[in-house]
Amino acid sequence: MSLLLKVFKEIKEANLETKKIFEEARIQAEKINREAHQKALFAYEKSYKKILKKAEQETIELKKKKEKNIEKELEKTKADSEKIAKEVEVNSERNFKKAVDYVFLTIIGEA
Amino acid sequence: MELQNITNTLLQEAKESAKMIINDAQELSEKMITKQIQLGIKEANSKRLLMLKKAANEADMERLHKIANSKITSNWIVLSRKGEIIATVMKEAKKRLQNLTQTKKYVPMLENLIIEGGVILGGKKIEVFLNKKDSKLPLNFSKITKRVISRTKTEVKMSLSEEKIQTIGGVLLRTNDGKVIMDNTFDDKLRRKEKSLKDKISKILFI
Repeated sequence: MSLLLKVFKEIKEANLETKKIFEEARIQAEKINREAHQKALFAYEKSYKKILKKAEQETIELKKKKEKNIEKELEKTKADSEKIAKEVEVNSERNFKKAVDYVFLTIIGEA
Repeated sequence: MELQNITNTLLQEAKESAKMIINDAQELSEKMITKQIQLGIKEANSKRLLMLKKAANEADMERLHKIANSKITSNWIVLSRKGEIIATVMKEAKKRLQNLTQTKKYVPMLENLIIEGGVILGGKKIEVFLNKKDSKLPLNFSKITKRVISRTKTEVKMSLSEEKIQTIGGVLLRTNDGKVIMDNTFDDKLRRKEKSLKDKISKILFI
């Protein structure tokens, strides 16, 4: 009878020990899970911010590039108009006398 | 001894299961972190694309605005140059009219201007206004008056006013009562015809 009791006692102790081992494992797994949530949140923010920072830089670069292109385009438009103005001037020299004659004769013709 | 083995086996199995639980938790944790990193990258990339698109749109709008302004300025530069050239033509023509007043051709021309004006005013008493220089010209008022009479078939009396006008050349006539004025000065002709003259100059020079 006492042997059976001893066996029962030892099995009970072993059972308690396994429960303890499982409980500790559960607590540790929960801890790992909690920490993982925090780490995941941190990792999300870190990767998000890193790309966003890069995007901000890209935006600035894009705007700079576009502005540079606009400046080039504006300079070309200005140069074109100056060229046209010069051509207008040169072409007008050819018929300048004819135009003066026209005004003069119109006024005199009225006389 | 057998009992000891049974309890040892139980404990060993429990330890292995516990180890698996922890390993699973760690594996899950790593997967969760990796997933969040990828989610962060994905969401940030979506925002990045929007930011770039917005920046591109803003830059395009700015471009359109600046190019439109630039084209207006360019047109203005060309138009302004054309305007300057037209003004030079007008100035040159004025100079030629001024030179004409110093030639012999001018006297009969001025007489004709007075006659034409006199006819338009319909005769009667007419005052003739000239500039200081033209007032000294040898104008034949008797001949002028006769010509006006022959064309209007009315009594005409023309007199040169003491008052001098400011003009390049030509004449201003006024009925004695001051009610009707006929401005036949070059300046007024230029002024009256300015728009049509400029249009024609523009066609001659630029088309």
